[in-house]
Amino acid sequence: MCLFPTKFCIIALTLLVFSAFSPILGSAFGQESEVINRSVFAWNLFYELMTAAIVVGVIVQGTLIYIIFRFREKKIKHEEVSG
Amino acid sequence: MSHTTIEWLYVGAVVGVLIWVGAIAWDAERLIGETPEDAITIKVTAQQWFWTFEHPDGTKEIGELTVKVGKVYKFDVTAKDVIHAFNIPVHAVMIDAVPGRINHIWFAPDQPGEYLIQCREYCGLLHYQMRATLIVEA
Repeated sequence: MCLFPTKFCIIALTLLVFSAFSPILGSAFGQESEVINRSVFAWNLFYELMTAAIVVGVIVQGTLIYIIFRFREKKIKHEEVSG
Repeated sequence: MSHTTIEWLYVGAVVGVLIWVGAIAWDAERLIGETPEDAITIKVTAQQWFWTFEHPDGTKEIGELTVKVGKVYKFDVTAKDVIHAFNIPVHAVMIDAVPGRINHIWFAPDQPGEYLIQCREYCGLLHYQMRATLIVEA
């Protein structure tokens, strides 16, 4: 049973997401152009996205492994064939 | 925690990741696409199989381009014959050079030295020799 109602969870999560990403969103919609080192910028972006991809992968795979282990099939003793 | 809550949390997390990736992609596009205002424009013309560079004062260089550290340069890239691609690998600069069209790209060198400029679109027999030198002066 959830401690909070589902709607509250959704709204809270949405606010959390937007507050976490608001600096990036603010920058993305800004108009000022900046001087950047293109090569450094591209590699930073690559490492950032790779980190995110690995974190998501670990969470998804970890969850799968947990579920598979938690709900694994129990050992069944073979019934002796009576002849 | 009920199944419904878990599912909505999962949906929220996926949407959050998509928003985040979209926002940084948008930001990257803006930073790379928008040329800074104080950029010096250099006209780059590609033809089989060499590069010509024209500075704002009208001086031309063939096979080498001289720039200075700390300045921002905007390249107006075009071609005379077939499609080429203007590429400075070290500075992550690459854009197509297309006849009848002017494409734009900018960069700001921060280290003096000599760097490779090459054609990155197969353009004929001597494509592999279509190179030039970028000279970055302090």
